[in-house]
Amino acid sequence: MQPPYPDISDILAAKAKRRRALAALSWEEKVAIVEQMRRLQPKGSWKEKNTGKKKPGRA
Amino acid sequence: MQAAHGEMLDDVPFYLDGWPTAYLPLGVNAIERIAPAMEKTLSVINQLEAEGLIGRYAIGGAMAATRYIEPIQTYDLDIFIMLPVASSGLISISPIYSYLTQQGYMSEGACIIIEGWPVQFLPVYNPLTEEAVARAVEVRFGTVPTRVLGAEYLAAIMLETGRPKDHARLVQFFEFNALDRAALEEIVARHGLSPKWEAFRKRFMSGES
Repeated sequence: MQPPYPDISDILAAKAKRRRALAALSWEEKVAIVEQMRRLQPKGSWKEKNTGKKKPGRA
Repeated sequence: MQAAHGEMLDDVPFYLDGWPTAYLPLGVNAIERIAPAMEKTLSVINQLEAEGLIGRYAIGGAMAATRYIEPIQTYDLDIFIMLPVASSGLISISPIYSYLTQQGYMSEGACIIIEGWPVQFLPVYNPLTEEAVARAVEVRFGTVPTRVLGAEYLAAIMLETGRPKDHARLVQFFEFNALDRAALEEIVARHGLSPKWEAFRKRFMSGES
């Protein structure tokens, strides 16, 4: 007997709607988002986080 | 958690689908703060062109793709350039870097940081990229005139490069109806990319054989 999995179609629809809204923004607005992502997750931070390696002097 | 630039990030809201949801839509302040930085970067690049250090240029890569589809995470601004040929008959990118470092801009790896944005200059390297720059779209970023590669040329370059992230991006171009398929197929045929196009179509565009 299968467990009662939840219906996540509303979540998926909301995600699709948000992607369309993002794509419809002006180029300037989208570049501002790219810049914000760059600041929040500097280059190399993903690798550092996932390999457990930390730069010297960092907590 | 602390970002490299010193901001504390502990209060950053949870991420959904990779996006900090509380930041969407962006506030006017963020756009006012960030867009002028890019405007300054592009103004410096326009100056390089005006002074003849570079020939015609156009924005490519993820920053160009972001104009046509949803924002893409990237760390640099790719600038495709036509380089003037030196009297020796050689073309070299080093005069650009020398000029910019004399202006106080610092290099970082393969990039040079211009007004806060890491910029990578990429000389056109084959007939496709040369044609893409020649036919780049004249646009404005904020108040600054610039050029960006057309969607069909970006798509053809993605096909040619063929990394997984290029294919993923190209799928998004179709998902968002961001390009003219007939125009893409014409470019693809002229530049010998038909086998790659057929392989992409079969693999990623369901319903096509």
